[in-house]
Amino acid sequence: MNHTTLKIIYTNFWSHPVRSLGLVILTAIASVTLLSGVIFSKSLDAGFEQLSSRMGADLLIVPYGVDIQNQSILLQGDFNHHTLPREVLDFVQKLPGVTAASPQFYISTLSASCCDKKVNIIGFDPKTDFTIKPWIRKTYKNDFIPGSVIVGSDIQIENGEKIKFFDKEFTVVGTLEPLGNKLDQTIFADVETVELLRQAAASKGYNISSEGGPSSILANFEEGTDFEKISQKIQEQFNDLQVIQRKNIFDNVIATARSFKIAVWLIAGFFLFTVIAVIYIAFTVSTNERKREFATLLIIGATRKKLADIVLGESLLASGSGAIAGTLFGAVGIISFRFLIQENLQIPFLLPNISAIILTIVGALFIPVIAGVGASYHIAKKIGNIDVYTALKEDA
Amino acid sequence: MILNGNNITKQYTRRGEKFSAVNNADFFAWSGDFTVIFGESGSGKSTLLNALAGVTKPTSGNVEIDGQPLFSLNDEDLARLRNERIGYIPQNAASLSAFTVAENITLSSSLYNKKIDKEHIKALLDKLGIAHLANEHPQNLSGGELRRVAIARALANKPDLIIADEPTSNLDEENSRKVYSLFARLARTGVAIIVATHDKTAFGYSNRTYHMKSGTLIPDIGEYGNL
Repeated sequence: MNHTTLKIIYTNFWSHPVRSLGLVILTAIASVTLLSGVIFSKSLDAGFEQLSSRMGADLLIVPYGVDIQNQSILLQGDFNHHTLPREVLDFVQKLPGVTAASPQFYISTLSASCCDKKVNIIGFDPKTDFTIKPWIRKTYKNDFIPGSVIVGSDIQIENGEKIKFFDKEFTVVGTLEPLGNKLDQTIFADVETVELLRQAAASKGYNISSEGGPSSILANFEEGTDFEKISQKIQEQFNDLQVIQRKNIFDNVIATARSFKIAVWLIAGFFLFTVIAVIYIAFTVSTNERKREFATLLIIGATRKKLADIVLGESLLASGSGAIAGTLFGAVGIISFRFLIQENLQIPFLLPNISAIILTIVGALFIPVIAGVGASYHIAKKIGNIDVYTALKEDA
Repeated sequence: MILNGNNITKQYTRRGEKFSAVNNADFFAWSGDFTVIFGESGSGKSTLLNALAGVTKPTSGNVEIDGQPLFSLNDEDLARLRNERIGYIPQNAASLSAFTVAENITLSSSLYNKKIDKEHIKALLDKLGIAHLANEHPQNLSGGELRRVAIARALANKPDLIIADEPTSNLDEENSRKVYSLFARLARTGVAIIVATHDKTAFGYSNRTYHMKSGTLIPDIGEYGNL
């Protein structure tokens, strides 16, 4: 395209500022919804993948009163001082069909030196644990030394630095990979460290958990084991506890996430369709108004291809500007507000890796542009086949 | 230069029925000819000129410039030929509203990144009496001024064939004479001029005449008074 062709495209774009800006805004919205739709879905998928590996247990036992409908039990445990009797763990470990059972201790501290707000601590037993350890092993491969802790990715303390709880210092020995949920703001410690913490709290007059019983027990079954039977046996033996199958809790979380995903995709699809429809209508009207201009250009030596290029160029300018603006806006928005999204939706939300993000950005840039230019293609083809005599006569 | 049209027929469909706007027309023009095609509205003059200018392909027949059949050329070559050799002034030519008069006139050069002959453009604007409008936009011009802009644009590239369809419509007598005088001067320099009109002023400048009636082209009709 030479300078004059570009000038024709540019001047025509600005000679109808309302129409042109309308198209730009519409394409920008399509790009934003497309970008956020894909990133949102991918973030949910990545969050679930991480959550699933974290919550790799078939069964969860928690004290009565813990809100099991709220998925936060999966994400961060329950820090309301509910504990299970110590004997539950022994009983579950010995049940036929149970291959592994391990306790977890949920402790909530007061304001700590590291954080502006109180910190949640999850204690686990390295000897029996099968959910946290595999995950921690990705970043920390040594034995767990009493007095050392591992921090979630959002707790900004470097390895080797100290963190103080109840005037007792603990050493940070590892930082975990992001999970995209509240576990990123949680501290993990083995049972011995948890005991040290409990003693430190007690010496300052705080009771941070009841009588040292586990906050929850996670268990795995042999394949083909009947969950109902196991649950019945546990509940016959102990009162005041709830036995939850992992699937039931996940179903709830997955259903919520699926609704969000569907809504986001529907919105993205709607705007993409609107872009196609509006560009088609706007360019049909605009080219009909300008038939004589196109006929005149043909007469003075423009090729028919150039006429088509002008129409496609105008649509490219409108949809391209919109897609660039929308993608920038969407990318900045998602990256800036991901914590807010995580906080408000209460579902795992973990940004995908950089190559997936770049691919999504490229898609959000090109799909609305292809849709926009594609919508004007038929009109461009019609203008390329314009009959000069009819065009000049019709609009005279 | 010679323009040669043989057996040109152009059919259109109106209310489901075919009719011939131009019917087996034979036409030729040499360099330096000032040809006038006279005929009433709807006689097929514009359709014939569109075919001669290479913008409308006839249903049958052919048009050649210097032996080169126009409609066997591809889009690009035909466009370039129109740009370099033909100055066509159609009846209802438009101007690009976003461009100034000067930009509209030099559009045929700038489309192909050609160097603009500013002296030539200035002289054209002066001769057509629109030099003072160079920086105006077309929407601020009268019908007569727009007509002169279309004429200037057709002449801007110094074509060797000028085809004009009712070039003096919207013009007063004085401006009509200016236009025909300009065409006559160009014809004397070897440019072939073809004018379709029902303005009898044109006959005083022509050396060849045709009469068009109901799609049929009749050559050498002689004095217009005999029509």
